[in-house]
Amino acid sequence: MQIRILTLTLLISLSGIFTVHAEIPEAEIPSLFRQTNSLYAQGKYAEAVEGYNAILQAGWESGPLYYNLANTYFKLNNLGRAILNYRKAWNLSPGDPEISKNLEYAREGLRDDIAALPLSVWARARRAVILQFPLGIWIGISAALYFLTIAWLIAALLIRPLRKKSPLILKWLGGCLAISVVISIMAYSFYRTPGAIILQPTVSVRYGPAETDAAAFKLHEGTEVKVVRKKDGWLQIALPDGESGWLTADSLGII
Amino acid sequence: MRYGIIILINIVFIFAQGVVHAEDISFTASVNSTTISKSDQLVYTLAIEGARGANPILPAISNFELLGTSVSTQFSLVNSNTRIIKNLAYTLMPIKAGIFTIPMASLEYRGKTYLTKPITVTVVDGTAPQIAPATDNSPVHQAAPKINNLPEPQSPKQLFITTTVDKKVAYVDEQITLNFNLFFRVDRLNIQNISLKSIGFTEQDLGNEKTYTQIVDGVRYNVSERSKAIFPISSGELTIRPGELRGDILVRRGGFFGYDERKPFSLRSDPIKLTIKPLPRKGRPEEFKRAVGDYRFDLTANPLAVKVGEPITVTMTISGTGNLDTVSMPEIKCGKTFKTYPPEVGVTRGVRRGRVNGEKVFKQVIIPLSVEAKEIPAVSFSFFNPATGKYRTLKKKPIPIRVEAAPDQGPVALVEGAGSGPGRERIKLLEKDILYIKDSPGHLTRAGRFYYRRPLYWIIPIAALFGLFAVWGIQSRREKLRSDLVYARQVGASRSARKRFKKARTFLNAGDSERFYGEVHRAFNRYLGDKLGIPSGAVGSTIVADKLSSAGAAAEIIKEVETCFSEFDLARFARSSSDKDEMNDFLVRVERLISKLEKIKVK
Repeated sequence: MQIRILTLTLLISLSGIFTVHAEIPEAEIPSLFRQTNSLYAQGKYAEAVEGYNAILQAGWESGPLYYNLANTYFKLNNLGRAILNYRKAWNLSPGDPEISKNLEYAREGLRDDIAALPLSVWARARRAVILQFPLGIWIGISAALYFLTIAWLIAALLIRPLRKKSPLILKWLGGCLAISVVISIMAYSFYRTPGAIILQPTVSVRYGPAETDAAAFKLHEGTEVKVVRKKDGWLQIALPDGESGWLTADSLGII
Repeated sequence: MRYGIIILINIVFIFAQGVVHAEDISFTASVNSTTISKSDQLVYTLAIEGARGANPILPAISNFELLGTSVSTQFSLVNSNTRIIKNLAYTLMPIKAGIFTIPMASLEYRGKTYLTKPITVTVVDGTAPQIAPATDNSPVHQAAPKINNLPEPQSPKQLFITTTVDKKVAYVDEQITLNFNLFFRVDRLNIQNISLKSIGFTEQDLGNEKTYTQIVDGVRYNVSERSKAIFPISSGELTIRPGELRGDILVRRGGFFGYDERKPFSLRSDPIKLTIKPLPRKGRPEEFKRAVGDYRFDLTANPLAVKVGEPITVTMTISGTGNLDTVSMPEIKCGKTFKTYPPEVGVTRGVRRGRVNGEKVFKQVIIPLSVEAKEIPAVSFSFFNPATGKYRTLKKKPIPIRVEAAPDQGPVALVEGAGSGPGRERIKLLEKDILYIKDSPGHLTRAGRFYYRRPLYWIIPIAALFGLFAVWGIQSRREKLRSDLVYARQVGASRSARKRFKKARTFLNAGDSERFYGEVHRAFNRYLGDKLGIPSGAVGSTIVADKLSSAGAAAEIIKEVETCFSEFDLARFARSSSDKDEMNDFLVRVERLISKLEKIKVK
């Protein structure tokens, strides 16, 4: 009985948040997150989805939040939204093994088997390096090295004994800074082309951005595509095998 | 590093090309025109490629007189493919009118004899009509060339492209080989972009670009051929869009030390219409899913003796020619005696004799749920063979297995003592599911508000850079003040003068005219000495006037300085006393004069 009352109270408080979309202070997020986790643990997946979405709608995001939401969608057999949120989680926490494993497992349920064009050795190496950290971390590393280089230069200008060691240290700092800036630029360009996930069970990909254009092929829920262009509520998408076509924007969820 | 890899790849690529074409020998004959007048000259050319050092044997050419021979070597470089062709041109003059045949020329190379085809030439009286030249090769010309923006003097026949297919009628998912050929007669090309879209098809490349020579309408062309396999997705009338190619012709200007002039071009071939037939309904087996091609099917299982609950891996290998993307896993009808898991799929792709082939391996784990499971059921795989136009079903017999009852072991103990005592067994994966949710929301950030998109993120580094420049400027000035005495005196001159004027003002207030004029005089002298780089003892009206004049000072200022010097002398030596107003006026005048002198830049 106590549990029922507790759950009811929680649901009422949550529903208040959901309808009003009030600003949730950061301090309250962990508590709301845990409460939503308990809904998940009780198998109340529909309510848990609302709980996680409430935090997102309040403007907060994190890898674990998207991961839990993805798990909940997976339990609701909503493969498209599950993969979409795993991918969002993965973008924020690319090194997280749990996200990678669940994403991989969810992808086993995909209907589309698209053979990706083979990547060159250089492209594979570049991808491996970029995915070591999220974009924000790479940019942060570049910024830190930049400030370190500036600070060292100022110190070397002001303190005469430091100048003797300056060329060697500057070589290292400058080298590291150049590498991190190059990786940051590559990472920015890697994440810039938005990915998207098919959310509908089956969609027809057309030759042009209109219903009158002929259907080129079909895609199924959960398949990941790249968004190349937008036009009048239509998105031009590209597949890893080089094919491309047009879809209505509501068929996709942007990562 | 990146450029190093690119250069290395290019070297490997160039080397590989050389190896691939080392045995390609071409020996062809051509004439500049098949119809000439009696007064025209006929140029008969033998072209040898790939047989270095070999000399051809010219046939006996009757009814023509040999006027001369020339030898030229043609190098061509297209996207790192180097080709060397030796051309032997024989200039012939007809003796009489008629239809004559130039017999076969021969070439001996490494024990083999290569022959050209005979060429028939018509010699007419009067003027010969404009007829295309002929060759010993039959022309292949599938699409009309169309050249846009090709600069003069390149004629349209210098460069064109064709797209061809091996068949125009095919079944859904059947391989169609699409060839994209660039014919060119220029020495060097830089290809920027090749566009060959085949929407409505899936596609796969058929290996690297091939290069060879071909004679079309009597003209020798270098040919660069690219091939890809395309597989129609749906039936009906489909169109392969026109192939497009953009690039530059590189023309050497100015000899050895010259430069390459780029002449851009854009080429387009004709579209190709294809008729794609649906797979026939007649004779379609029940097991057929979508596989099109010609395949073999193999079925194995391991291990064949297990306990209840232990996994058996069933491996189904489908190999052969065709679009492996259409091959789905054959169904194992396990019923309720086995629990099945999603299969693991591995694909190996290749190309053999221009056909896409490969192997698709499905590994499915099945677990017998009871000792009643006696065999892995029969498995069938059906495919449609477009070559025969018929469906085919490959059946594999049931595989007998031995399943024993599992001992009752109670709950699995995850932590046990060290060692591997009897009764231990590996932990088995019974079922696959997603990993559990996370307890903590982790590091929360404002959605879409990346810190690097905030203006402050960019303002602070720029400010830091300015700070660095400021410190650098200050330090440079300090260094200069330390090391350059003249500069240091110049910089400190005004400050030092102001100090002395302050002191002089105290004498002024006290009414001490002698000390007042003495202090102002010292301040003035010192200022001019520091400012103009004159030793303090040598400062005088004449030298100061010279220095100021060479620094470009106005004549009034120089005159004013001279007046000041005179007044100092007058005040110090002639005047016994002065009133305060007079002294104050004098001090103000000197201060103003120094302000004016400050604006003069002294080198």
